[in-house]
Amino acid sequence: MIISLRDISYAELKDKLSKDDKIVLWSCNTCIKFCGIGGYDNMVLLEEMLTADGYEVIGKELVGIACMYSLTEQHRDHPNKRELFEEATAIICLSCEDGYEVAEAVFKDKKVIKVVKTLGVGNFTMDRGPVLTAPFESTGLEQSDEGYSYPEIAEKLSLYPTFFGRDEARDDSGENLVSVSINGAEYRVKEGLTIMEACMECGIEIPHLCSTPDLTPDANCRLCLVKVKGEREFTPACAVHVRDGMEIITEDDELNHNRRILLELLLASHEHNCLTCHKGNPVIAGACELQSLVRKFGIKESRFEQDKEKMPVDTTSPVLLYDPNKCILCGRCVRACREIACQDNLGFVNRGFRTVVVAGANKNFAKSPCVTCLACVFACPTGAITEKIAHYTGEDWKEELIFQS
Amino acid sequence: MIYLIVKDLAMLEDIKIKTLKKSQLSEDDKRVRVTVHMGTCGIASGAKDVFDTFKGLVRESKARDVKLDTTGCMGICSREPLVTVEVVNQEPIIYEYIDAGKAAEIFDTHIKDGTVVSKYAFARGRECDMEKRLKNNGRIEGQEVIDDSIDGIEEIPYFSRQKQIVMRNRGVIDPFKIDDYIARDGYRAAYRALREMDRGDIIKTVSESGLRGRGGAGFPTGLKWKFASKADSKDKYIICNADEGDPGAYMDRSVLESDPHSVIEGMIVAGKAIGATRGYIYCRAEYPLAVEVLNRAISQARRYGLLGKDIFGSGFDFDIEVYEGAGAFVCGEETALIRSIEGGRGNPRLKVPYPAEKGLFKEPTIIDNVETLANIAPIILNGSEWFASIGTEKSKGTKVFSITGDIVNVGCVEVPIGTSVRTVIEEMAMCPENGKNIKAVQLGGPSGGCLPLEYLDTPLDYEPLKELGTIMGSGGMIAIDEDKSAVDIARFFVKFCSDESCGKCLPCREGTRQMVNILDKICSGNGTKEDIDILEDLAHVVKETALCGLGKTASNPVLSTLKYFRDEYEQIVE
Repeated sequence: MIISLRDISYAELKDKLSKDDKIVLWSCNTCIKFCGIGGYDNMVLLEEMLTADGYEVIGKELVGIACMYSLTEQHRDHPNKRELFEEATAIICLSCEDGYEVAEAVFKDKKVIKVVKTLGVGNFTMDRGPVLTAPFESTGLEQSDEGYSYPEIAEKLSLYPTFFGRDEARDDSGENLVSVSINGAEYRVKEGLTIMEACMECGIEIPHLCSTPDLTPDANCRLCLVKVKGEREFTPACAVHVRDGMEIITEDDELNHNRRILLELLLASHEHNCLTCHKGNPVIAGACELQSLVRKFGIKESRFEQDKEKMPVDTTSPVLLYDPNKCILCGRCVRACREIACQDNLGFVNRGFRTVVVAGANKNFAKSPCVTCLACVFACPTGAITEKIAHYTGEDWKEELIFQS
Repeated sequence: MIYLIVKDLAMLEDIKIKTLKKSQLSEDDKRVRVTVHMGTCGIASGAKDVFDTFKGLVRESKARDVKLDTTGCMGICSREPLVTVEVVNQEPIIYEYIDAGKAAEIFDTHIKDGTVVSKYAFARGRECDMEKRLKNNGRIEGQEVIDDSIDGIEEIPYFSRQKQIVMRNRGVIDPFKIDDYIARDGYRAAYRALREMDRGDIIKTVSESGLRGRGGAGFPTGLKWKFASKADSKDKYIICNADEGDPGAYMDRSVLESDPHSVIEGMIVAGKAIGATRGYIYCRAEYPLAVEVLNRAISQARRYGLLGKDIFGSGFDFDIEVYEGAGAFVCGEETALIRSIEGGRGNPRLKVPYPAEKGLFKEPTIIDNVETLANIAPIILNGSEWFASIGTEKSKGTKVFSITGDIVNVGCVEVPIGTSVRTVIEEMAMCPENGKNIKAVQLGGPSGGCLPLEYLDTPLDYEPLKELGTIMGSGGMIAIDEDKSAVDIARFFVKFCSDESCGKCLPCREGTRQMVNILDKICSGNGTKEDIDILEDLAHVVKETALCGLGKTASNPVLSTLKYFRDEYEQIVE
């Protein structure tokens, strides 16, 4: 992966902006995400900071691979986004320098702001995070197998080892807050959050599978249904925004019973065999969300009839492996492909319980125009779409002396 | 070709007089009119053959005095093919179960010799003269009664119990001729709405009439229009939901096939009320005749200038397009229907924002059922008070039901809301057949529930039915006799929902499948008491958690049969 570090401070960033600017935050979803500078969460943070300081952020755009010219053009020209980009006057680019140059070329008439310096190629390690192993000559650093960690590089080249910190922005606590009651306790949360986001901020987790902060809510897994006083039906927490005075119950016997039945239905839908699943690997994309929910609810087995039908696994892509038998049809990959990759390459076919996700209008991955941006891999909550490189290849255990008396 | 553009009331009147004059029978010109009822029900049972036979006979015998007409379904589909023979100055005779042979006999005996073939006759008189006939003891001035051994139409409860608003033109007009509709005072309501009323007046009239959506949920139509009219947007849309898919429901098809202009006129009025300039009729592709009739009706209306730019010189533009569904039941759900027209996969979405704020192409949209729209013209013409005088306190007007199952008279009936289920099933449909007793009535198709015998006196109205675990629904009514198993019925409907689920939300996709699995197991005799409990539990969860109307109501057949016929489930598993 490409290693980049932040090279401007928050104050310097603000100097480049004016209060009249209509700002769009633009982040790549690949290397820079693992450098800790890009990704949706960082865009949310930066948006909060800028808004608190009185700047106008009109949108956030997560791009599959920001250094691909054609992809960024597609984002700009997408019918749903055209208006946003026509209105925008400044683009803050959370991507490597390549991505920045592409954005500059694509948005010729706009102010495009770079926040990083790209230093070379490296790896992501479990213990030290991203490391730079093959620095560019211009950095003056020696090539090293071990790699330079972020704090080291930052010190050597006087850059910033982390993303902008919240403490750099003006404190806006107390502004635009609404009072809600969650499970009987009173909280004050930011206006405009969904019930799920608000609960998360208050440290209350609501079970969910189909929602993820990066994507528009779809409310199809129905696990996040909560009770809101005054509503006739249960409310999907992922899609409904908090209102002042809202009284929310996120958990009770009835809701949890429903969730347990729904999870049992999911377990019965395919043979979710964790022994052979690649999701269990402690790779950067994280582990199986279905498994963790099943364990959380203490489900041992499903009372429903197990569907034993096996669907063929799509191994045709050089990068991905798609196993429809592990798919829970949450549609996150479909939305990621549309919203982050701007490709619309993934979609549903058939209906009812015969519904499956397929690439390229019912073809396989190799025959489809997949750009292998991995947006779907990051989105998938189970082991249905995994990156081949992350699969356990069956290497022998390495012996290591730990203790000798 | 230059067509006449209808600009004012005088021109409508002119067309009406000319059409009526043309259709008048007389001794020296057209002496006899033979009307073949050619709805889908008629055609399916051989009405085309009958029509061709009559056509051949007229041509062969060079009978210039015989006029051959077609119309849509006249409401009693089980007796199709039906033919009405009308001789000048005589009462029309309706013949039932006609085939080519019988047609030839009728042609020789009745049309040529003037003797009614009573063995094939079903009734005397025309349905549209019902009120006059009831008043004058079954007589109509100027029409001679030939054979009073045949029942007068007013003597048949199936017809006399009905009150016709939506189906006011069935069996009378030729759906392919706009002039026939205008001759029955068609497009006068549109004229009034466009030239004499403003938006507020229309919405006020519809609100005051108490009309509620006939698609099943019963949302007040006036209120829906009010929301959409308030929404601020240049482009608004009105959609007619003609994606009727419930097993055993065919009211909308009957309306579209026999009276398409009443729906078009309703849409014009609705368009004016909310400020829409464009309408869609989302019709299922499995109704080819309805689609053909609609397209023909729309192009005729365009020629008269009743659709298009500057209708009636009022400056109001409105046009309609027919959009054919692709066979998915779920597309009858509003948000899925919208997605389907937009060109996407017909999946429902969260109802908020409501279509009245952000619907088709993200613009304010109202979606009304065929039957709702067909009610509009009479409301505008006769006023809200007239409409509000029919029905119950909470629900006004009439409702069309398509009655099927173990009964004698299968067809569409339009009764005032509040009529009891017993009246419809026992008096009108004449149940039971062959001496068997009726056990339950399934209302509202797969989304509804069944009503056991002891509740048969329940009025057909939204709230009382809901209290009993069933729904008014779009109007499917299926009578079930004592030989049928309630478990089988539940399985049939849940299987239907499982097949028609779009697959988007988990409870509907997997829950309906598992309900089918459990019901299969119970029906095969391998079930246990536990299975019944799991089924009930699952049915409740699906009902509470599903995303759209289809899923939320998919377990109703299970829950209602469990409520009223639990003993049958228990008998099977024991």
